[in-house]
Amino acid sequence: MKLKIAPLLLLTLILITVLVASITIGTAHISFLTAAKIMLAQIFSIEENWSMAQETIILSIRLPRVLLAALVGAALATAGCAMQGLLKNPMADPYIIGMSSGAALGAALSFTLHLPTPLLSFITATIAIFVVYHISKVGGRVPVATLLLSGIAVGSFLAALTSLIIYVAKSPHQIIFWLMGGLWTSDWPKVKIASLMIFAGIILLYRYSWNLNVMLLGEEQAQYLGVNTERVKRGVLVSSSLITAAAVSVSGIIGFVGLIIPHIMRIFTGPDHRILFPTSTLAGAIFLVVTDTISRTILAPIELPVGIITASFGAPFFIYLLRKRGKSIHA
Amino acid sequence: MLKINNLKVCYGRTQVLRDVSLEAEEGELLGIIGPNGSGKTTLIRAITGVIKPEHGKIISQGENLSGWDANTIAKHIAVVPQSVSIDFEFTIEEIVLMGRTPHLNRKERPEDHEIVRDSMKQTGTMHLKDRLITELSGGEVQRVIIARALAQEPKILLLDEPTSHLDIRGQVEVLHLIKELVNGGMTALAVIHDLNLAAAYCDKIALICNGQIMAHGRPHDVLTPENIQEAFKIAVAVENNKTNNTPIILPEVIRN
Repeated sequence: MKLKIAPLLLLTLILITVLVASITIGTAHISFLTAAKIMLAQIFSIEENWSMAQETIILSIRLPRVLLAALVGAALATAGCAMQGLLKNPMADPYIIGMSSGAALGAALSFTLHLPTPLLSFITATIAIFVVYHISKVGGRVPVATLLLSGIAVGSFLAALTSLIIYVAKSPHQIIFWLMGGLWTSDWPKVKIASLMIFAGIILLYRYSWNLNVMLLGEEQAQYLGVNTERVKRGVLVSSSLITAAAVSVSGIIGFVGLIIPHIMRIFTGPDHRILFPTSTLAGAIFLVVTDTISRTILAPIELPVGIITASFGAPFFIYLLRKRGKSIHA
Repeated sequence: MLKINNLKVCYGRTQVLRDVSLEAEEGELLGIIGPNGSGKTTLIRAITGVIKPEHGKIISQGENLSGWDANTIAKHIAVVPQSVSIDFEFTIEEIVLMGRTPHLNRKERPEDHEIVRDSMKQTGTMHLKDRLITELSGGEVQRVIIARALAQEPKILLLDEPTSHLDIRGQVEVLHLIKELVNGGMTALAVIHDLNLAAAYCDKIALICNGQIMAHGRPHDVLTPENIQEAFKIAVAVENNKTNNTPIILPEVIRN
């Protein structure tokens, strides 16, 4: 199998372009040259001919936000790719086994109890997955169908609790905005923590590429080929939960990226996870940086939750690709 | 050589296989026949360790396989499963390369690709190399799956109804291929539903009924009207196929 390097290079190039462009776009007009100088001044000594305000906008507002968008997009697309492969289900996304409901409950609690939202939503998302996994365990094995069903069951239960909290909350709009997903609270500490967990999780997932390919043939066949399928399932679940929880805790529940990006990439690369994973990671990052830029500029100075943009721009594009290709969803 | 001693398998409290002992020599095709639900597929799962037997030994080349991990067993035994339907658009070469999984250490080496090429040549699937698995006919898919099994470089080949979804030409082609591999020194055990195909191609046949071996030996000795009546509850006549001196089973047609 020849690995195609060209698409990876192309996507990396697009990502860099998009990152730089997105930093220079915003309500406050700062030219590309000034933005570049401000960033380079952090490493090299460059004569200052910009204002403090400009420096703050670039370094403390736009740069962490753009980087966080890239990280979250990368995390969601990679985790979605992993879940679709593991569950062999084209409808799977990173949230499918109750992750989003767990995170939402944590966020809702944090707003009513005045606790840090990222921490609480990370904890509840992780607990949700842990519970779902153990409910699904039958005699040392975790059948995929049981995993999906118990994920849906636990998810609905947690969603009910979240609705209850929203209903009785003093300021429910805070929780509701968080649920729509957005990156307006980006700062450097979030970038640091999220990047640590997301990079680690993505690298772990890449290591399962080959075994996930073999498991696409069916679990029993994979076992006949010597794959310890239960260990792969556990590893993939743990790593994708880690990166999804990290992403959700800093950005709320951004839909669509984790479902659609892996599909679009599969149309171009085929089902081989060794190429599908890295292209999904890069494309997810690109997609979220672009949509987040749109979300903060389209109605400026008002910001839209990015989740609204991801779905309203992504869905038509995906439908176009599906129709054009006219083939099965599995691609 | 494959030797199975006193194998006992239970699903919960139900005994599926009781005290099964079998032997297949190198260069021998052992056919497993028996009614639906008699434990044939369970036998294959137990040999590969996908389900753990209550007790009994599986011995390959004098080594006891019980207690081996899945990866080591996959280097010894390859399985061609019943019908294979793969919805994902892998190329044939990628599918066959998956047979190298138990030998791979993260990265594939040039010799892996050589073995993949050899397996495709042996099974006559080389020309399909860049085609997608989703585009092939049932017979072609089965040959590709056999190529994948060969890429494992196994000592033993287990086939679970390798011909049941194929038309007559596909059935004959696949069994011919298996026969060729066996003549090349492979030990093969195949579950076959069609008694006449089993009679024509297998060196020995084991008849399983209710989780037990009812008869075991040369086709002529196993495929008697009495044995078939007892196992399948159906009256048949057994004739001799003069072209290759194997039994032919003719069910008595019920007319009303």
